Amino acid sequence: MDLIRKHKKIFIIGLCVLSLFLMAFTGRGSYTQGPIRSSIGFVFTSGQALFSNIGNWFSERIGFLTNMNNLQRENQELLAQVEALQTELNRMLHLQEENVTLSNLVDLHRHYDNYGVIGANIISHNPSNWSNSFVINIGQNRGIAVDMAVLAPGGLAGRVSSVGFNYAVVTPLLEDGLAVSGQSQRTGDWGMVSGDINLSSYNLLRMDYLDISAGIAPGDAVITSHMSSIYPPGILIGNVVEIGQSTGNLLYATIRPSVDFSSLSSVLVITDIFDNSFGNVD
Amino acid sequence: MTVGEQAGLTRNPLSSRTRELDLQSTNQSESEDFMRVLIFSIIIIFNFLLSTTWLQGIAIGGIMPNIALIILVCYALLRDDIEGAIMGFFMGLLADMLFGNIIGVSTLLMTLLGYFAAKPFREFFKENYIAPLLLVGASTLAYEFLYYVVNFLLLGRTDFWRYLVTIILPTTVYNLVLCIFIYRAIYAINNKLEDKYGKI
Repeated sequence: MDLIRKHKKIFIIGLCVLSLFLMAFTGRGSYTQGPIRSSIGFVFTSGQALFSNIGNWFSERIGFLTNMNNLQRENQELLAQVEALQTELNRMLHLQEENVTLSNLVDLHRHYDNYGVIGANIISHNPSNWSNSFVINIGQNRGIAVDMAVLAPGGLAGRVSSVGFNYAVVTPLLEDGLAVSGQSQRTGDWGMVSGDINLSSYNLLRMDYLDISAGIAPGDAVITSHMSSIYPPGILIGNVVEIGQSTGNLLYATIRPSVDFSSLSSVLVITDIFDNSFGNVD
Repeated sequence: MTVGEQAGLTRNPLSSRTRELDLQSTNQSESEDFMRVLIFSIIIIFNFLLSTTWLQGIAIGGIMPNIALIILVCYALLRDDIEGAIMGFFMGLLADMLFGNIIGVSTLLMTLLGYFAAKPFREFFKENYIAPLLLVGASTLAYEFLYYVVNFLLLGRTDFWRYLVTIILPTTVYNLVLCIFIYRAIYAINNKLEDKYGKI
């Protein structure tokens, strides 16, 4: 230590050079985490998984205790709801038959059930405020690779941005800069859906480059389009909140994602990698 | 016996005493370094693990405090630039390893932060909270700004004002609030270590 103190300047410059060297060395774009990084990651993600499990155990117990008072009341309310829903269900069955016919007319197949999926738990979140990425508890050992799409209850949640041996880092949809090629389900209008710092505080996404003549309207569902080179087509992104006009002859739409990002705990990873030739998947 | 001899003072009070101290300090400095490295490694690791899992719950309006930064700055304040730089290096490296795309960005920024944070307040009354508060405030602003420049500005996101108001300023405020508690803790730990092993 005293040796280092004697040569302070050189030591500091050495640390900075080491950091720059690391940047140069890892900046060449391969997001699969190498052996050194993976082993360090292995240790820390195991720690994170442990902490997460402990935390979840406690919050489940505490949640149960605080909810006991409400359970009786909820029970009554739910019985009433069931009745109302039965009526609704009958109506829906009629609509579903109609939907099947119409879907076949539109050139957009729903292949959710045909995709290979693996479930995963979220074990930690990025502590930085600039990114909302999170770590899931499966990695290369289960066949996860970079750019796989990640689903959560509701629809599309994000994509795998980095993968280690037994963990993977997922970048969510709301991230500033992450863009998805989207399409309005009803009208087929195409646009780019992305996160936006102005909106992410309100948990909304922005869909740009909509043609001025687009028939998209508030309430429409937006799904991933055929033109995405990463995401499988037909996955629900969210619903339109409002439409506005942006520069040039373009519209933009504000989208509320169908996934509730604030309460994510488990996700599904689609293990089929898609490129532009997805059309051959059927 | 003279009064001096009765009191235990020899003719050359300094020479033999300093020789004793010299021998003591070489033995002690190794165990001091070890204890210091051990204790603060545990602090760094636990901070990382907790801030990615349990402490996510303390986010206000989606803003997490940058606890690693507070710990780093408080430590650099109490010790010196080299130790601050080393601590910053490992903190940054840890965050980069797991959550970064290009390793080295956080590493470099935290190293420099640890180094420069020790510079301004070399001689000050360490029990006063003004220095750490000022330093944490300035450091958070500087660090988050540089982080924005490297990761966002250079990729074309030029909406700086919005980033300032939505992310940088709230993080700074939250950091300032937590600084008081964390500084107390680091100060207490550092005092215990310095009482046992002596100052720098």
